Parts: sequence; C-alpha cells; structure tokens
Amino acid sequence: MLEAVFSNWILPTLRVSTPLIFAALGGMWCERSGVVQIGLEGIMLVGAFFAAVVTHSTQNPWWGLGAGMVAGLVLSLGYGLTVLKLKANQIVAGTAFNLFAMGVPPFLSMIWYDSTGSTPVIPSEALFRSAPLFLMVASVVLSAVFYHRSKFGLRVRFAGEHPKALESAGISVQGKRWQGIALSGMLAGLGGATLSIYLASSFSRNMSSGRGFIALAAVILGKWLPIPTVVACLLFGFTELLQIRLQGVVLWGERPVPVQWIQILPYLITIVVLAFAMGRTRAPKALGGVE
Amino acid sequence: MNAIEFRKITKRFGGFTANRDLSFSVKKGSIHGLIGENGAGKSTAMKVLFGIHPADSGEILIEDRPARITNPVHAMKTGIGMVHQHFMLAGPETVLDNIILGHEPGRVFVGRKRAEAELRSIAKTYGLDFDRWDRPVSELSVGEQQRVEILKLLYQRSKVLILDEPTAVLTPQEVKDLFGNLIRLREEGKTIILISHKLKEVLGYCDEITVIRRGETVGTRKASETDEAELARMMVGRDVSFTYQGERKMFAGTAEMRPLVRVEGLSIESTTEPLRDVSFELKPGEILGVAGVQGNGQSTLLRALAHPAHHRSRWSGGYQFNGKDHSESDPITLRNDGLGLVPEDRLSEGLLLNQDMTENFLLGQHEDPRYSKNGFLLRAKARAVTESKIKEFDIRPPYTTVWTGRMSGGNQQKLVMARALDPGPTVLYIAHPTRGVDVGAIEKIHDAIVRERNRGKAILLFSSELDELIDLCDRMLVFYNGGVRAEFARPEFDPWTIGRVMGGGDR
Amino acid sequence: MKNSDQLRIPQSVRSFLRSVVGAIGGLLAGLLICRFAGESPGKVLTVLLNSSFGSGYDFGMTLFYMAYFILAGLAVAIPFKAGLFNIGGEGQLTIGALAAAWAGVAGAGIQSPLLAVLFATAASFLAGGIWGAIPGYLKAKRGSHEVITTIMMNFIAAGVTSYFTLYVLKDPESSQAETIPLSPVFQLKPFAFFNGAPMGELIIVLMVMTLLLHVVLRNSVWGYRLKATGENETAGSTFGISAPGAWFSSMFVAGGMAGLTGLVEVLGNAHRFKIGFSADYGFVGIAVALVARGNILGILPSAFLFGVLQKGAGSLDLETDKVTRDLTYIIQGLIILGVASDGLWELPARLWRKRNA
Repeated sequence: MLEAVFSNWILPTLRVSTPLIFAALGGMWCERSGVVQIGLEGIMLVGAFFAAVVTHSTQNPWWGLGAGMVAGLVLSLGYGLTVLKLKANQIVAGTAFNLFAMGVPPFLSMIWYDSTGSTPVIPSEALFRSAPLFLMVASVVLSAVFYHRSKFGLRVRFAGEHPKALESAGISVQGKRWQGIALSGMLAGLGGATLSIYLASSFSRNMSSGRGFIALAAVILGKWLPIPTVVACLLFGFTELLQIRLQGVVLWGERPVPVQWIQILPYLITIVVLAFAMGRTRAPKALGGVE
Repeated sequence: MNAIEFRKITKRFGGFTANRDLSFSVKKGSIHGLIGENGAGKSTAMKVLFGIHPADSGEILIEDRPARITNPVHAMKTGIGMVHQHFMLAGPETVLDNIILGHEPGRVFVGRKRAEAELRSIAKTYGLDFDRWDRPVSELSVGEQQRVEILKLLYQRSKVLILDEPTAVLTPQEVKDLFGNLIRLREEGKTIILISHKLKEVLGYCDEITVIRRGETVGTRKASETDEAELARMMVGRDVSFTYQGERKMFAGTAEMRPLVRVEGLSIESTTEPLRDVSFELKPGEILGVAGVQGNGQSTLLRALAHPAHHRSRWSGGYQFNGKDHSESDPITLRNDGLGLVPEDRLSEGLLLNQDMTENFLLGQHEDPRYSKNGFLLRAKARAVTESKIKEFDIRPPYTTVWTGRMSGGNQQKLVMARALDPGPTVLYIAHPTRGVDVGAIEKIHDAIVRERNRGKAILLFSSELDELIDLCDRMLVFYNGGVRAEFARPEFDPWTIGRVMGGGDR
Repeated sequence: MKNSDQLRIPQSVRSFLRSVVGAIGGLLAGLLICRFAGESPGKVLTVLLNSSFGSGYDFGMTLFYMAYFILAGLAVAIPFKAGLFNIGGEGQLTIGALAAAWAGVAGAGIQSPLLAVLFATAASFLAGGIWGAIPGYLKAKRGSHEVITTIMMNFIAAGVTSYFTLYVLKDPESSQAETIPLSPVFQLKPFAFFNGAPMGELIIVLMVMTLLLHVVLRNSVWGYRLKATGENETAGSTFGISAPGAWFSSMFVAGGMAGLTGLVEVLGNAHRFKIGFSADYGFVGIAVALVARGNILGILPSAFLFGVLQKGAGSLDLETDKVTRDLTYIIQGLIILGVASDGLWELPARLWRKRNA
C-alpha cells in the first residue's frame, strides 16, 4: 500500500516537480540579490532545446545537461548585461528575453533539422533515469544550507534587502547580482534540460509552456525562502500530475472533469494565496530597483 | 596627535565650489563637533574624506601622515567609519548579521558563533550592553538600532567614528544614553566627529567645535570657551535672534469665537504610531503648535485629520471642521470646506518631482471649479495662476515649466505653501514648514504663517523644532505616547519644561 | 544652471528619437542574425517589406496586424500612466475575443448590423475590462503585485477560453478547436481596396479612438489622477487622489482595450473564436508601448512598425529556405532591448569621461 502510494503519487510528483524546483531555486537566488527574474520561462525553453540537441548528437545525457546549463547561463548573462550595465527595466528586459528565447529553438531547429521547433527523438538508453532527481535534491539541500549559513547567502540577501549596507561593508552589490543572475541561468537551464531529456525524449515546440512563470510564482508563494519555495513547487507539481491522472476520469455526473479546470488550478492557487493568505507580500526591499 | 586633519581642501562641482580651502583638525581621543547650515559643505567634506569625491586640491592627514583615500572601503580599512543619518541596516536580518556583514570570520560559512563571542567582548569593553544578537533589527527601537551601527564600526575596528545628525530621531532619554556611550568610547581612545546643527548638544558634549559656512572654515572653538550666540553668528554670518521678529497682532475676540476645528476623543489604531484619545479645539486667529519627539502620534494625527476617509476602519472619536462633521471626509471635501494643507514630507507627500510647477500646483486642486470643467483641466488658467504665485512667493527658478525635483528645498516648500494658500483657506494644517530649508527662506515662510494667523486663519502647526514652535505658536500641545501629555499657553512656554514633558515627564 | 532646463531639447522629442534609434538597432541586429541561417539580411528585409507593402492585400494585412497592436499597446500604456505594469494583455484579449464570439451567437436575433456591432463591442470591452480589473482590484485592495497576477490571469484565460470553446460554444461541424460562427449580421465588411484582407473602417475607428484617448489622458481630471498616482502615489493620496481608484479604472480600461481585439479578430477576420489565434500579441503590446515610450499617440507609429514586422514575417516561411516566421520573436525581443536599454545612451558620455579622466 505504502509502496503503491510512493510509486504512483510521490515519485511522479517529485519527477514532474524537478524542472520547477531547479528553476525556482534559480529564481530565488536571483530575486534575493535584488533582480527580478521573469525570464525564467525563456531560459528554461532554451535550456531544454540545447539539452535535447546535445544529447541527441552525443548520445550522452550528461553532455546534454551541461549544454542546457551553459545555454541558460549565456542567456542570463545577456539579461544581466542589459539590466545591470545598460539599466533596462527588469520586467521589460525579462519580457524581451522571453520573446527572444521563443524564437531561438525554431530558428536553430530549422537550420539543423529542417523542422520548425522540435528535435529528433533521443533513444531511451541515452536518456536519464533518475540522476536529475538526485541532482535536484542536492540542489535543494545546498541552496538551503548556503542561503542560511554561508557568507555568500548572507551577502546575496543584503544585495536585495539593503544594497547600500552591503556596499558600505566593502562588498560589490553588482557582483552579487551578477552571481545571482548567473545562478538563475544555470539552474533554470538545468530545469529546462530535465524537461526534454528526463521527462520527455525530445524537445518540442514551446515545451516549457509556462513552467518558468509557475516557478516564479513558487518563489513568491515561498516568500523567497528555499524550503517554502520548494514546497510550493511540489504543490504545483502535484496539480500537474493530477491534471494528467484526471484526464477522462469521471468524478461526478456523467462527463469527465474538464482538464482545463485542473490546468488553471496552480495559477488560481497562486492568485488566491497571494491576495488573501499572505497579506502584503514582503519582497526583498531593493527588488527591481536601479542603482 | 591629530586623528584627522583637513588642509586647504577644495572641491568644486562644475561652477559650484562646495568646499573652499577647508582646514581643520580633530584631536585624537576627542569628541569634535562639525556644525553648519544645510548646504554649508559638511557632507561634501565627509565625502572627500571617504574618497567618494576626490578633492580638487589640498590634502588630508590621518594621524599626522598624508593619506590618499580613494573609496569608502579604503576609508574603513584605515579606521574611519560613519554612522549615517539613515541607518545602513536591513530590517528583516538579525543584529548579528547586520554587524558582521562583509567581515564574517568564516571562510565559506558565516561563523556566527565566533563572531558573537567576539562581539560580546567588544560590547563589554565599551559598555554597550547588548545581548539580543539574533533578533531582527526591525524589532529594535531607533536608539538600539543606532547602537547596532556603532557596534558595527567597533567590530570593524574603526578608530574614528563619524556620526551624522545622530540625535535627530532620538528621544531625550536616548540622547542622554548616546552621549554617555560616546564619552565611554572617548575614554577607550576612540575619536568621534559629530555632525550636527543642534548647538546645545555640541556645546554640551563636544571638546572642540568647528563651524563651516559656504564651504569654508569659519573657525574652531573650544566648547568651554564659546556659547550659543557666537556659534550661531559664525554659522549664519550675522547676528541671529532666536525669536520671531515680525508683528504679532492679537486677533480681536479670539476667546469668544467658535472653534473652526474641534477634535473629540480621537483615537486611531496603528501598530507603529497609534493615537489615543486626543481632544482639542482650534480657533480663528491662533496658531496651535503640536510638539513631541517624532513617533509619538503627531504624524498619525495630521494624516488622520487631513484624510479621515483613509483611516475609517481604525477611527474612533469626533471631528468637527468648520461646524460640520468631517470624520469620514476625503481631502477634496475638506479642501472645499476650507482646509489648506502642507504635508509632513514635501518630497514624498507633497510633490510630483518629475512634473512641472503647474502640474504640482494642480495637485489637490484638480477638481476645483476654477481649474477644471466637465471633467477636463483648465491648464492655461492654472498656469497663469502658478505664474502669479511664483512672483508673489519669489519662487526660483521663476518658470512654470521647471520640474519641481530640480528646485531647492526652500523653493519647493514655497510652492507647497502657495498651493495650500491658493483656495483662500480658513484652516491650515502645516507640518515641518522649514525642514531642510535655508535660513533666508525660513524667515519668509515664518512671515507667511504669522501673516495668515493675523488675517484670522486657524493654524495647526506641527514641528520637530521646538524653537520654531515657541517662536510662532499661541498655544502648544505636547504629544507623548499617542496622546496629549500637556497643553501650554504662550506665557508658559519654557523649553526645559516642554522638553521634559516631551520625554514623558510631568510639567 | 536652472536656465538650461529651458534650452534643452524637450524630453518628449529626445525620448522619441531614442525609441526610433533603439528600434532600428534592434531590427538590424535581428536581421544580422539571419546570416547564421545562411540568408542575407538584405534579402530578409526585402521579403519583409515586400510582403507588407507589396499589394493592396498585403497592406491590408499589415493594417490588420496594426489594429491588434494598437489595442495591445494601449492595454500596456494606459495602466503604465498610473504606475502599473500590465503583462496581462494576452489574457485580456483572448477573453475579449471569446466574448465577441459569444455575442455573435447569443445575439443571433439582432437585425441591425449597427446594433450587432455595438453589442459585440460592449461584450468584448466588458469581458476584457473585467479580466483586467481583477488584478487592478487585487492590487488596490490586497496589494498583490500586478505583474504576478496578470501573468497568472493569462494562463487562467487560456484555460477558460479553451473550456468554453470546447464545451460550451463548440462548433459541432468543425473538427478544429473553434466556436460556432457568428450570425452574418455581426460580420464586418473589409475595404475592397485591400483585396480580401480582413480590414475595413475599423482601423480608422481605432486610430480616432487612440487620438481621443490621447486627448483624454492628457487633459482630463481622470488622466491627471492616473498621472499623479503613477508619479507619486503617496502625494496623490495625501491630496485626495485615490491610488486604488486609479489602478482599478486604468486596468479596467486597459483590459477593455485589449478585449476589443474581439472586433478585429472575431468580427473582422475569423468570424468565430479559434483557440491560439493570438501569436502572443498581448506580449508584443509591451514592446509597442515601450517603443512609444508610454505616449498614447506614439502607439500608432509603433503599432504600425510591429504590424509590418508581423505581416512580413509570415512570408519568410515561403520566400526563404532557412528562416521562418518565428524570427519575429527574436526581432521583437531585440527591439525591446534596443529601446529599453537606457544605459546605451550614457555609454558614449561614460567613455568620453573615462578617456578624459
């Protein structure tokens, strides 16, 4: 019985939550350093694409995972350049990178595979079985420990909460923000990679389908703290699972539950919790501000 | 030995000279006062010292050796630290983390245990008793937060501690504690520079005092050999009388007139600054002062009286304005019934800084039939009136198209006053009319306030400058802990008694 | 020192010039990327321009897309005056379009074309408006950040419209995910000149409406309230301007504007609601408003530019070997970055200072 619950519900929830958790942890680090990260969606998409491409050509998922991470990093550094150096509004620039990222996979897949936004299927022996799951757990533990106990965590928190205090203590605020952005790129890139080479076996068009925004919502519902953020991700992962499991199931009446109602559940939960359960959101004070 | 010496420091910004041949020295192990008016060049001098702005000429000596400090971190390593007027503390973070930020003892991890042990011994050495290292800073009182700032400097091993206007936000009791601590620090060999404009305090606690005016050193005096009058003369460049010189005509029949404002048992719930059972009357032709240490309910009173609707859910008590019940009104209704308002903080509450003077003049008047019709603004009319106000109040620069964010504090304040007086109000709520305003403009603003009183307006005047209230008011309410602690009539005005009541004492 | 304020190039002109240069820069960067696909940027540009201006039909299609972008741009620019960032245009316009489709079915009994159009207009404006007003309300009453709530509302709109399309208004004769067609009286007639492109008087109406909105926001008391709230919400509130009122009303009008997309898409083009009709037009609206620098009048040229891009990109699939219409996403992203990167303009000055230091 317990085993059945584990293999039917707990493990699948952990699996579908994996991309979310990676991305949300990245988003948490970035926003804690004082930079809004609504570009998670685009980073995940590009990460998923490059992971699939590299895994397909090397037949080794670890290379793919690395590629997804690097692709995410590159995109996030571009974002860092525009918001930290060129002083673009963070929400505007994040939206721009999301649009940009939507164009990249179809553009490249046309050149490489003559397809408008999908990659060839990767044989199952070149896919991950459970490694990303362990990697995810490790990221959660490391993030939590570093957030609370390390010098890095302390300084990142101050970069987002009171940058002037950090500056006057002799630490570069911009430096911490670059690091926060880079972390978000790498982690969200990893998250994207797990979409295409862990949960699926190829990249398909617009594969991230809003997960970057869900991850961002998880960060906010988790009050920018690592463990609560992960819990929020698991909740969202569970509704995603529910959505798959309830497809075509008749719960009451004669017709099956429309899948749309379950689809909108995580978004509805986010709004309701944000508006009615959390009180005024206590975001990092300097979030989104310009120096 | 001198801890710090300025030698002929000159700093220009474009055509403006902020510091000219500024020279003074601070003896090691002393408390040194640095005083001057707003814009005299005190903060520029400190920025030069911290390497934020390099000096154009001159040199700075530290412990009698020439030093070239290029940035604040460098200054910190040289042993110079500053407690800013706005604390550099993150509210949700703990006291310990705020103090050790940037100087954590660990390599990868913070090393909180080690840091705490070290801090305990520092606190003991300097007699700064403190033991709540794991509390968030936001739970501390302002005085305690200031102590955290001082501990931060001590933890960084600063030898010279600069405090910028440290007493502006403290209660009298906290001020006493602060200076007790500073004297203890001096005994342990630290040097302290106190930037202030409160003459009494620098006279009371400093060893030496340097006065700066228009970027130049006027002179340095031993505290024991000077007095308030001399320092004030040095600061302003002429004799300053400490009392208002204009004509105070007694308004005929004040006593019998019916009050324009009547507040009865007003309480406002608030977690930060509640108001408890406040009652008073305000009659035509009088200035009623509201005194008190910041945070004792005055801000809540002003906000509540100016915008009752906004406080509806937390409101209890009566509020009659111009003979009518206004306990649920909004600012527009009150204005139409004769209220002119000068809010507490003109930058955050009074102005649209990225808009021109006309747009700012319209704020609050946008529904006045003189300036709008059928839902549309009559901007040309507003512009013409703004132009006439610019002439009347001598606002500079004299163009309606200037963004208010680019105007000086005094000129911004004149515009806010002009706007409050434009509808021909019968009641004025005026808060901190001269905060951050130059001396020249202060006199003009005071003149305007008394002139309105003499015309029979009822004025409620909020100020943190007790001297200002004593100069201008006919009566005074002293606030403490959200309520009126005592009321004084003009003949009873005595700064020492009022000060004691402000701190919670009895008359 | 203060006199120089009088002599400067007016802020509005400067920001207009910056927008133009930034947009052109972004466009050029996007075209250069085509080199990676082995296409010459010149050819891609020719395809783009030819496809959007080449014939009456082409130009009509360009105006058709422009109509979308006017509405999506207004949906961003209006709340922006009150200091809000409406990322929810996409959701508001899908809901508005669905409402237009519903109106066309529910109002089947209406005889007069004018009444029919008015009914559909009201339905789509109200539906989009309510969809926009919800985040406005939550911001006003609960302090919930509008960027998050509008993003969430986009996804909810996708679910809701898909439910209504598949379960409530489903066209039983169609195998696609689309609603029952409108009754004919609701269908807008295009100009003959456009040779079949689905655009008629509506584009003129939208242009005039934008002009009116410009005047209203600039000169009305309501516009002043939005501006004061966006500029300094505390000062506004101190002097009797309710920030919640400004937020709520601006988001309602913005959502309504986005909702009017229903007229363009449903009444003018497809004559029914199709799932996925919008190629992220709501998000392009952010770019449109940004290039216009929040200026309502500036929305018109800006929307036209994005209309050209959208129409032109459609031909890339056919006319080039390796570049597809998805290139527009890349170009749109780059244009936004070109316009939004304010720091670019300080770079020359900064370099100049560095050299002289």
